[in-house]
Amino acid sequence: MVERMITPLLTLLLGCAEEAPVYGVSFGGERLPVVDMHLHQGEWNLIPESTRRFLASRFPAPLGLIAESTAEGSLNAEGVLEQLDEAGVIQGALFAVYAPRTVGVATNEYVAEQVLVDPERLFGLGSLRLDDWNNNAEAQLADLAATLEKPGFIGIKLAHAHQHVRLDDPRFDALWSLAAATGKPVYLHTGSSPFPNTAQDAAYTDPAYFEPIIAAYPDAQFILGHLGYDFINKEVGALDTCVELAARYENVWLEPSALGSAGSDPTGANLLTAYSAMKGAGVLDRVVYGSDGPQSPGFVAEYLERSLAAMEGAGYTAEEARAVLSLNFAAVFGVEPAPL
Amino acid sequence: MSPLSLLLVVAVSAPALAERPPPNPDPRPMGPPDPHLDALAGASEVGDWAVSLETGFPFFGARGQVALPWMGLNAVGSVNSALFTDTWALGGVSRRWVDTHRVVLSGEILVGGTIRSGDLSRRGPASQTTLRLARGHGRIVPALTLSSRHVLLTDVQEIQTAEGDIVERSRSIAWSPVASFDVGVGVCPGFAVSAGLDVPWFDPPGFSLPGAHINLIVGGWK
Repeated sequence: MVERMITPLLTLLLGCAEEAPVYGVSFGGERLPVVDMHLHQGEWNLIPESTRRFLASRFPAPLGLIAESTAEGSLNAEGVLEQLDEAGVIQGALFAVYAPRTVGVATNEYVAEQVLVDPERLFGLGSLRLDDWNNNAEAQLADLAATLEKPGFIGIKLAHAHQHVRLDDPRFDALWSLAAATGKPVYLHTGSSPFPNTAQDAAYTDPAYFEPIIAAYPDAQFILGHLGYDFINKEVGALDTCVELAARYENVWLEPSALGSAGSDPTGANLLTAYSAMKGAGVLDRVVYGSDGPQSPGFVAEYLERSLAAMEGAGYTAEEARAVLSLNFAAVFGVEPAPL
Repeated sequence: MSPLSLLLVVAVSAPALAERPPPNPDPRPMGPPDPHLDALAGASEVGDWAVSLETGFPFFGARGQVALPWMGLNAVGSVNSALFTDTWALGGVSRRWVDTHRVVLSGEILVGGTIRSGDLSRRGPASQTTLRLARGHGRIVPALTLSSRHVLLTDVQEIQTAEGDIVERSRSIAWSPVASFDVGVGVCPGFAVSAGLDVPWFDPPGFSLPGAHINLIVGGWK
């Protein structure tokens, strides 16, 4: 009760004035629409205790003391939309997640409800459990296939390291076939992860282990999330592998979310390196912007600012930035380009 | 002034000087006590007491002090909670170390326990050492408070092995300092209010938001 009173009071104290959102960003003298392809929402009590503690410790104190009520404000569609408005982001994609031992669960059904809060602006990526695949594969695939039929669902989200399956696990042929048949791209977490209980070995985090599947399923589109970043040591990790895979395979896309946050890349040097590498490899027609928000109040806007600075530092033209910020999202997911 | 006029002044003044009461050894003005000074200074004069109730963000709490007849000590009890989640219950003593007409400086040592619920839960025996500097005496009293709070934590790790369970305990001390600046105003004898800013530091080295509070203060007198 008290917590529910405190959070709105704090919001008022911190000065969230009501203003009409202005969408788009200025870059290279042009106004560009922005789509954030990597957003999380869900229910606090479906996150494992150790991860809740990890997340709460990253909130500015004393908000971590009331982490659940603090998170509730940003973990639903309304909270996500507020952050998108604050950042000037016109559209975003919400992820379903099934990683009960690490980052928790955000069900397909929950994401479907959240997408309907504003179907013009929100999309969904469905997911499925992989941890009992030998006994439950058929049911999981059927549920995912049904989810992908629902309004707004444009892709599939997986995180091998969080779901404790190897990137080269040969049991998931039916999943890749489903992705190819439905034309729904597969987003993959690559690189290590700061979350407790993550499988951090290379077989779970290094996208090189995924190359045989990329090669075997040319009709399936794969988005390598986080560019293989090493979140533990705050180093670029498997960036070169990701860029090389994108250069060699037309069905590989890149997504530079989270790695450039103030916590993971304090100086911004690693994000600049990543954007420079992608430009240097000539794969900017397959780079899709994402933030991995909302994380904490203001994160979506801050990450966009840091990304624009990195693009500017790497010498991106306005047209290259436009491709990264919105057009490539439309291309890979087969949706209409975002309006400004 | 000529020597004659100086003598005249002395002669006229002499009866008046003779009628004055002896100088008050206590520089504090006579009359009702200043409960806000007592509370903000952290220690009352002998025979006085003060109770303050605090509300704000993030802290809520109550604190009482009563002067003891020995060595200028005060008995102090305090219950303080951040967002009703991180609660400290402490008791101990305080004392005015410096008390001039302009400045009161006191020190305080409290011991007790703390319990924190929620995702960052913890509990353990705790202590708090506080220095308070107040500008007295008068209707308006500014005051600076610096507190250093410590809690002794015990982590228990149970490992189940084929040979049996292994229980390992490790101890650590968590530190959370708080600085506050208050301005207290006497409303009427025995009743005052104060408002202030807090700069807490929960779980260093992480960032903590600043806070603000209002105190209602009541006090008794000799």
